[in-house]
Parts: sequence; structure tokens; C-alpha cells
Amino acid sequence: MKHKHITYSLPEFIEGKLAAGEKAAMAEHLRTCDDCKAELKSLERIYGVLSRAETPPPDPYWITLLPRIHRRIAEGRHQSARGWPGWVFRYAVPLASVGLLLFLLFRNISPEPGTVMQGQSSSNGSASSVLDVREVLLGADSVEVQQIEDRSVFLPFEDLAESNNGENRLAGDKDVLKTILTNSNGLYTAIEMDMEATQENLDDQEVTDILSQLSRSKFIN
Amino acid sequence: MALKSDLDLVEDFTGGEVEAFNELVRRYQERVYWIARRILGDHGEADDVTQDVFVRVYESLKNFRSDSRFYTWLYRIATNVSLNALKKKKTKLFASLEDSAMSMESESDGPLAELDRKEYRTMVEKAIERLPARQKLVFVLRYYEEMPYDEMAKILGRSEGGLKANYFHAVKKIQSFVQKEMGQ
Repeated sequence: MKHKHITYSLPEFIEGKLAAGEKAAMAEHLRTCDDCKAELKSLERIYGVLSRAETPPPDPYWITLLPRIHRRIAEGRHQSARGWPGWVFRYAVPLASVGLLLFLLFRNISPEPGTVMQGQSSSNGSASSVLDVREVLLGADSVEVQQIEDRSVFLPFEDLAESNNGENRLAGDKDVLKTILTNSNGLYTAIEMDMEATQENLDDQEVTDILSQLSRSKFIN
Repeated sequence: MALKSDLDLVEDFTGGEVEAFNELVRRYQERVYWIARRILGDHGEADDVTQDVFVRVYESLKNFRSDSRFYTWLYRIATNVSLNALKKKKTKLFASLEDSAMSMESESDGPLAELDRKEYRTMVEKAIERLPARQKLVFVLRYYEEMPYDEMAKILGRSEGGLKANYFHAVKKIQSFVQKEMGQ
């Protein structure tokens, strides 16, 4: 086992959560490794500071929670019945946002009209692979969207930012964008990120136009 | 009467029994709340996220596939919603966080022995607050929830080795913050 992997197991050693064999191996390692011994001592101090005592929620929080959840469910239905349908902000606007994002992005990096990019036919155009992704998106049903949501936990944009020395250079990196969009986690992130911007920046007419376009897709029945 | 399994309750709910949903809420409300609370660090925001999580569960339970555990599915939703709330919070409160960091620097004197329990808690909460989102989530699930790495790997879609590294670095960052706070 690499030394850094042994180091990463020190917290478990302190917490007493290593299996018997691992615990014995760690004890043996600590007998000969001064660095790990020092690290262990240092970690033990912070474990002493970490307190599990926390302020509980105010009474009678737990009793009132369930009725408030049901009230929120009812309010959601009420709002859906009066205003935009629930799927507008849950699915359609996010999907439209991705389309808008792609349009804005590739409008800037597409070749001049009539120019053929290397390795592509003029009929496909520079954004053909992205259009395919969008087709996938527009063809997703609610179960598939849910599956995408369920799989997405971490935000690939963080990885992207890290990989670019802290700068989010998504707009200038077509390959990275394609990778993200063809990855379900990334897809969700793109939806989530742009959904916020869309809700804040689009006016009613723009939303109507987007919905009009989407209404022709399989996604909205 | 034997306690119904999560899966039984899910099936009852999809069959039209709302009480089955209520039972799932009662069963998991504290876990969901504390995940949100430890990630967001605030009762009001944790309350909002907890409600939001269960509203989503209510709306999408019919799509739940029984080949995964309800608990795992619920944790995915809880962590997603909490992280998204954190992202929004960071955007909104960037300036105020900077202010609080400055005020903390001016209050950082005092030996360990003089800090009482409440001050410890506040200090640790501040340290956790400053962790990157991913490390914070891993730290919360591991330290407070005592979740095994293999279970966490299923929920977060990461390797166990990567999660161990995340956890180790989270502890080290907390340690670094605490030492700085205590003037060590």
C-alpha cells in the first residue's frame, strides 16, 4: 500500500473503525514511521477539539415538520394550477437553458457561414455533436431526467475550475464542454447552473418563445 | 405488528397510501435535517432544505426503482439539494463571509483551556463552513453520520480511496483553521 493511502487511514485508526487486520498493520507501521506518528498525534488533537454536541432545533420542530411539508406540497400544486405548469421550471426551462447556452456558446466559436471545419461536412456544421446531445435531452422522459438527477451529486464545474487553475474557462473550451454535456452529471450541472440564470434573466416573452420551441419536441406532450 | 420496510412503505405510497409517505418522513426526517444543517450550518436553511427534500421525494417516489435502497436514494437527493442550497448561499453571502472572517481574526486570541464548549462548537462550525463543498459533504457523512466508505461511494459515485483522501484533507483543513484561531 502506498504511504499516502496509509496516511489517509489515520482518521479511521483514531476513530477505531479499521478492521482488525488493518489496525494491526497500522500499529506496525506507526512503530517505524515517524512522519505518520507525528501526523497521528496532530490528528488526535483535532479530534479532541471536534465536539459532537450541537444545538438541537427548537421545540416543537419535529412535530411541525410533516404538516409543513404537506403544506408545501399543496402550495406547489396550487401554484402549478394557477401559473406556469410545474414542469416548466422543473424540466422545460432547464432544458431550454441548455439549448440557449449552447446556442450562445457555439454562435461565438462556429466558423463563418460557408466555412467547412476540418473533418466535418458542411451539412453537419460545427455544432452537430452538441445538437445530438440536445436531441437526447429533448427526448428524455421524466423518469430519465430523474435518473440523471439521482446520479448527480458533485458538481463537475468544480473539477473544471480546478483543472483550469481556478478559472472557469468553459466558454472557450469546446472539447471540455462536449465532455461535460455528454456526461450525465455534467449535463445536470449545466441545467442547474443555467436554470438560475434563465429564471433571472429571461422575460415572459422569451420564456414563451422557448416553450413554443420545446412544445414541438417529444419532451412536452 | 412488524415494522414495515422502506420498500413496503414505498409500494404502499405508490398504491395511494399517503400515510406511508408520512411514515418515511418520520423515519428519516432527522437524518435529512442534520445532513442539511451540517452542510449549511443554519437551522432555518436546514429546515427549508429538509422540506424541499421531502417534497421532491413525494413528487418522484413513483419513479423510485426498487433495485436501489430507499435510504441511498434519499441521501442522494438530500446531498444534492443541500449542495445546491450551499452554492446559492455562497453566492449571496460572499461579502458577509468575508466580513465574518475579518471579525474572527480579531477574536482569535486566547488559549485552548479558556475556550468553553460553546466556543469550541462555534469554532468547529466555522471551520466546517469554510471547507470546499465536496470535502464538507464527505466530512459530514463520515464524521457525523458515521457512514461507511463503501456506502458513501454508492451515494456519491466516488471511489472509496478518493473519499478517504477527501475526508483526510477535510480534517486537516479543520485542524489548520482551529490552530490559526487559537493562535498556535
